Amino acid sequence: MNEERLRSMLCLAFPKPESDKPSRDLWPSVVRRIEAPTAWSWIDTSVAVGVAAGVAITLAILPKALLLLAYHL
Amino acid sequence: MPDELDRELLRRFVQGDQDAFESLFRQFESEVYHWILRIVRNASSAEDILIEAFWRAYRGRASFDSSRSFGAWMRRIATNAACDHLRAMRPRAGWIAAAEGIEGPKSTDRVLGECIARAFRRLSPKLQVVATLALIEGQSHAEVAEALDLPVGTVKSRLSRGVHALRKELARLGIRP
Repeated sequence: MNEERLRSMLCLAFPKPESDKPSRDLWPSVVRRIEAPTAWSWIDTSVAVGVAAGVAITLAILPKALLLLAYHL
Repeated sequence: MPDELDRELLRRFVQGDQDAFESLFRQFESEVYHWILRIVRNASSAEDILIEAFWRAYRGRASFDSSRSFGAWMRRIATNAACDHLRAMRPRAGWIAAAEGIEGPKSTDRVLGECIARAFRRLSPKLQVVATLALIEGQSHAEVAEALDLPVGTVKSRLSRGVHALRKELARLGIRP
């Protein structure tokens, strides 16, 4: 298949969109997006839970680690 | 290079002034919309991506150098947002024969068009963007390179990889025009 043929097939598959401008004013949506509170993802939550659990387990096993933790806070 | 008025507007934008940002939005909305539309070829998706792109711009305003072109910076953000959209829309490796799922009588051209569209959407977003601009929009390598802020060599290599992958995919679907 030569490139010209490929090009014409692609133009057939993806015709030029007729839309000239957005169908509505998009500024209010941008503002809503900016003002929306940032949601925590499940990754953030997992990391936070993991760190908290790690600290709790460490303190349970080695209570003296509290001094070290307090030193670093 | 921005003039004095624009420079002040850009400085206020970087500081988080929402009125300045709205002015920039009104000024660049149409240009960015057309740019996204050329990449994703769908008006509704282009609107969603435009919102996402301007949100990203506002969020990353601190990294903007107000002595540079806002339009070029915005286009880069819009391209990345469009690539993320194409990535999300990319068909999974699972789909197979092109004729499957096509219902009712359709013209040969339409069926062919659907097969090509599917094969094209399986390319990586980076290859899709370059191939869209070069093959569908008919831009020169230099124009694509400038628009995407890439070296011409990178554009040529991505285009070549895209064409090769597309030919391979079409051959797999039994399309050999």
